[in-house]
Amino acid sequence: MSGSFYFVMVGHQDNPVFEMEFLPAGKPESKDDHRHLNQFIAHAALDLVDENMWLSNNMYLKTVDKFNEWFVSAFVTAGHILCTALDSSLYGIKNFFNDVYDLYIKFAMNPFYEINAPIRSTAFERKVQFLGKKHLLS
Amino acid sequence: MECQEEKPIIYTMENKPIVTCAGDQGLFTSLYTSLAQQLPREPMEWRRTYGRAPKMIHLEANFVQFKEELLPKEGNKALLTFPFLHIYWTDCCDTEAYKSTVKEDMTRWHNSLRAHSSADWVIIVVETNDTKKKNKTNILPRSSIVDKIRSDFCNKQNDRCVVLSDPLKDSSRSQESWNALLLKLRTLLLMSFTKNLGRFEDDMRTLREKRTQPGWSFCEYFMVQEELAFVFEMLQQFEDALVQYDELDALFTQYVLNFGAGDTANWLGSFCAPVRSWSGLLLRRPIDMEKRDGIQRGEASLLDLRSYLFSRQCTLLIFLLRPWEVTQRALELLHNCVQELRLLEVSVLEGALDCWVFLSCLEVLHRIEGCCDPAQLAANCSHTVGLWAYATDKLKSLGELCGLVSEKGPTSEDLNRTVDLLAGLGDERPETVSSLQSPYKKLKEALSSVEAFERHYLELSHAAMEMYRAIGRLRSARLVGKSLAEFYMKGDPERAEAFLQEAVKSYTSEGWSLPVTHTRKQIAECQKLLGRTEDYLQTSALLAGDGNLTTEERKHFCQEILTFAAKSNDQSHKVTLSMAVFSQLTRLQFRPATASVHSGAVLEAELTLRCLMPVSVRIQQLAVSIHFDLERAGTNGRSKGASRATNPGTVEFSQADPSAGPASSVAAAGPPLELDEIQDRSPSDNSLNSTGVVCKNTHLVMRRHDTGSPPDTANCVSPPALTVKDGAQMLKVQDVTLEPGNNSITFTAPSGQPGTYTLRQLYATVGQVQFVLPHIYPSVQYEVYSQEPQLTVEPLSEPLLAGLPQTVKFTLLTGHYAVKKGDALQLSNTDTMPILPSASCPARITSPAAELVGESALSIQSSEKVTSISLPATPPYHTLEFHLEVLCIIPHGPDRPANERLTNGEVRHRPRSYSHPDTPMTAIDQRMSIDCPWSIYSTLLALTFYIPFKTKHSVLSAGNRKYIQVCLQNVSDVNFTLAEMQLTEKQHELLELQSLNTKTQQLLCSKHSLFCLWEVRWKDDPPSCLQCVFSANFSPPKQDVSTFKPFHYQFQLERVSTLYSVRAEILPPAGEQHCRCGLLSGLEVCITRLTEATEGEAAEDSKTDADGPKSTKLMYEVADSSSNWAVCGRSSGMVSMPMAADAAHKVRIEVMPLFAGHLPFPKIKVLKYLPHTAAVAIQPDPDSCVENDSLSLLDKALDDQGDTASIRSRGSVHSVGSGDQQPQRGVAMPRLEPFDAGQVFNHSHTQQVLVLPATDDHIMEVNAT
Repeated sequence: MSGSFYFVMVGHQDNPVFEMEFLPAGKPESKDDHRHLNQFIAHAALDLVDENMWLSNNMYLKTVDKFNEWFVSAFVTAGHILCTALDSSLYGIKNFFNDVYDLYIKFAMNPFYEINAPIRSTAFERKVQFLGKKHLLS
Repeated sequence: MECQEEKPIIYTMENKPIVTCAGDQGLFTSLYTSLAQQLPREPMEWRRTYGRAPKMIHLEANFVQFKEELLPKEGNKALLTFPFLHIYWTDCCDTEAYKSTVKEDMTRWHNSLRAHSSADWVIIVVETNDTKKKNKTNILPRSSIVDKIRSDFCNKQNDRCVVLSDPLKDSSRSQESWNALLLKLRTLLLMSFTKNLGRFEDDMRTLREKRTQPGWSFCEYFMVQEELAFVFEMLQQFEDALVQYDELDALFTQYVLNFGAGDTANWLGSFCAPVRSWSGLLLRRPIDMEKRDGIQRGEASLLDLRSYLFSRQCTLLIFLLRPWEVTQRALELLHNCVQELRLLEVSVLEGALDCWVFLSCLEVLHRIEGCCDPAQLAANCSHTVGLWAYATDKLKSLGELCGLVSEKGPTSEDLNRTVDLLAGLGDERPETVSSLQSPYKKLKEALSSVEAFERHYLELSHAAMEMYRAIGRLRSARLVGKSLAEFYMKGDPERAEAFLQEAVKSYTSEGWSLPVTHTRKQIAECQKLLGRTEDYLQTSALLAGDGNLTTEERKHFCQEILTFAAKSNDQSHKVTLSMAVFSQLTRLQFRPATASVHSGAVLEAELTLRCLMPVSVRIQQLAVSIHFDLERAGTNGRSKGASRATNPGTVEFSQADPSAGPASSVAAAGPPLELDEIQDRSPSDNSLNSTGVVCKNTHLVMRRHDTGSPPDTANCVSPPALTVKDGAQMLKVQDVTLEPGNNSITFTAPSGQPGTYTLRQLYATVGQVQFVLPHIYPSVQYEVYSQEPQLTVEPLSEPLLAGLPQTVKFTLLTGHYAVKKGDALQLSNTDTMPILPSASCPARITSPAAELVGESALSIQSSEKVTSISLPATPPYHTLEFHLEVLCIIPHGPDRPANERLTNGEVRHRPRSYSHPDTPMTAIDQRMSIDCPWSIYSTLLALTFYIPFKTKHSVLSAGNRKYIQVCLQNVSDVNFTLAEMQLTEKQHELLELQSLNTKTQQLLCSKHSLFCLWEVRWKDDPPSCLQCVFSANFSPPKQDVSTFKPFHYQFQLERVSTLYSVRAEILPPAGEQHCRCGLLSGLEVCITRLTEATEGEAAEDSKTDADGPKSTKLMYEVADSSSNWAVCGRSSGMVSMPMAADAAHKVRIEVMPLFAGHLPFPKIKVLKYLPHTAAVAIQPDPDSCVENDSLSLLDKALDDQGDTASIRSRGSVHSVGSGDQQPQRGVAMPRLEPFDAGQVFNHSHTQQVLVLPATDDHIMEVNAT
């Protein structure tokens, strides 16, 4: 399968806080065309995340939307930061979300980090990259 | 009755479990109707295996005639055709008949059942009264036949034979019998189900477990499990039936996923065959036999299998009244299928899947519409909208594929493709042939022509969008809208733009940068098509500054602007764009940083502009308009700009990224609050009543900005309304080139008129294009002020000491006045503070920024009255500083010359010395009057000097010899060296003052005193009055002799010579050698006059004793302040002394020592007694005039009362010690007057006498403390 994967965290104003794209090893950098498509899909799926998160007690909302070959899964943190992932395989997403959530909590405890502000931390990025490889691309 | 001849039609919902009937067909026929009616009437509890929950079930049955063929053959797994129960009907009551025919028939039946190992049977014996009656002749007990049957067939299973009595009669007995029968039938049926289904399920499970074996086929297994599903469906257990299909679904899905993971199953091969048909789901039939056959034959494609499976699930869900689950599952299915085909790498004609999805979506929607009313549909469009959107999307991609959206229409290649796609649809299904709106027809039509496509596409899009809106999924609606816009773009860009604008608003407000960029690009395209130059340029500017685009793209958009700007044909057609898209004002810095200058001074404002363009842009003019406000044109120029409070001179502009960069959460949160402080002050006394904070932009902040209108920042295409005011003052620079990134531009701000200047708008003009920042926020101001010249004089070092040359600093703030060459300050000279001429007097000129501008020497010319200081030329608003040395002359003494007049006619204020509370030094205020060239009025300035010394003098006597002591106390904080202390007397030349001071130079430390002593000697008469001048030279220590400054102290001494000497003696009591404590001793006082009457004395007493021999009255008083002595008897008395030398008077007074030891003599005081000047009154009686006849301890010394002429009135016994302080007016009273220091010399001063303790006194006082 294509195996590529897009992950975005969304803040309280529905603004993207953190974005990351995972590409399977050996695949060339995806076209720019693709990148905005990911955002389009993720953005539109926020509607469904908004609806679904009130229907479940779980943080992990499973697949909330589909768009052609993309499955949009979502995870809502206790602080209402939405984690949305676009992928086509559905494997390991839940674990990935849980691990990223752990990571995010630690990050958000940094007193210099303002909730809802974009995350610009290479350490965070590297760790998410690692988690993505671990759970999604393997 | 069912047709028993035909094989029952299976695979319809009419299916019921089969029950065979053998035996008497006529009998059964008569009972069939009531049996078929009554059987399902009561529910039965069905207990299930494997811990499944028991269910209440209404049983129905399909009664068919028993045939051998109906019995399942070995290995036949079919369940639907499986007879669950076999009934043998008989109404035989005749033993003979039973034996001859019935038993035989029954045995055959039973055997055939046994041969097929079917244990589910029952024999029903019907008894009627008719039959009984008929066989009355050879009557046997009724039970006998039943018993026989039981013994013949029911081996230990007596319940397999049931009696039904009088079934056609309406009696209670008949009813009871029926009930028993029905219960039995139901029980048996359920037993059969449990047993047979259980067996079937076990077989099925076994089969499933074999799925890893090579020969296993999913299709075979599918058929088996579906059989079970059918049975459940037959039993109306739709839930269970659905579970079977879901299990099959999951199993298949798992296989496909495993295939994707590399685990291939052989049977999957058939599903990997290229897809040849994409006719979509078919949900109108309960069972699509065509597809089922295909599956059974193992020829079905993946789409076939999925379609069939879903159609079954759909059917069951609709039975379960869960239509919305159908739509949800449908959407999932459609997505999954696409995925699975990709996973299995099935080759599909391009577009075929789109066709399949499109048809399937519509089919599902039609199916749902068919089973719900419109109100329900409308209420549940959240479930269907996904299908609508998916169908829309697919139709669009089909349209693109088949060339239906291209402007030229489809090419022949496109047409070929269309034909191929349509071929894959096959023929329309018979169910929908008659329907006008079938999905099949729709697709065919849509693909047939551009117009039809457009119609269908728009219809779908709008429907999807409406639904999304209705359920509040605005983002999804916008995404559809954006997709729609792409379609509109070719024909109707105006509508397209509307959709795109809406989408971009949402993306911008939520900060999704890539969608913003993408959408904006499309907007730009629209605007270009529409020829809306201004909007297009605005959008281009936004795009040119968009970091998400490639540099080439950005350059392209930038070039679009520049190209337009370069067109110079039409002057009137200027385009105004928002500055925010072009560059951002990030910082503004004033130089000087106070942002406050005097009028005419240079004020620079440095703007930092972050240019967002990808290339450098040449700007013809960059200008900032200014609002001028006279109101606060302060003279001191202290600005109150709020922005300057924190970082003076620099204003940082923080702003939301207008290009909606990846991080504009600020923009999403709405505009920043513009808060202002308000204070409500009482009008009367200006005291604060209340204070608060007011938000100036509530209308923006409180505005709802989710759905309706997000804050239109720079993304709005129409530029903000501009108020370009012409003619106003401006900061301007011409021809600047802005490089990408930060640019620093320096303006020179106009500073002509005093007042407040507020920066309002920023313009950048590039040819025809003008970029405008309509409102600079936070507001930036600078002030221009005008100032009067100011002259101040202050000490260079505090405090200024009088008597020494001191440096004072003159500071001249020129203000608006330019000091010309030749301007001079005219200082009126004063005697008390001369200005010391100095060789060079440099003046420093500093600029307002405290930079040294120049230095030049001042020329100072002094005339008698005026000192003139020529000033160097100094520009306005500069500071001129110079130092002058002045000397404040210490006033000699208490003498004050008459007031003088100053040159300008003012009364000269003599410097008056006074004591300052802060310092022990005596202060002298010196006033200076300065005439300045810029004013007709004199400037009066005061300087305070402090005298560093305090001087005291005293006369000391030793008999006739006199000494003058001068005490010089240094009260300043500085040490001094004193030299040449001298005392001179002015009047008496013969007087000799012999210095007893040994050192010529003396260090006088701060806060210390220096005593100097001179002996006064005279040749002839002792002088009555001495005019002395003490002079000394002083300077700070370790200075050259030349720097010594004189200090003079003038004082006058009067009545210096000794008039009387007092000699006292204590005489021990008689017979004693020493005084003894407690015994009276005699005090003999001898007062001797030493000189002749002096002139002064004579004058004083002349009136009273003009005639008689010159004498004067003295009063003596013995007082012992230390209580050593008790004066017994008179302590004071009056003596009359002749004014002649050596006249003496002796007085004896009884005193008693109170203590033993060396006691000092009691104090003896001699005072002048001045009789009242009035002639009469009482004749002075020395003994009785003033007396104190009580024995008293004279602890109240008279000298305590000082020089007040106090007197004790006669006989004032009651008021001892409380003398009448003030002499009564009118009645002249005698006065006492003390002698001046030195006039009376006491020889026995400080003399002591030995007092022995009282002899017989053995009491010892011990004081223990």
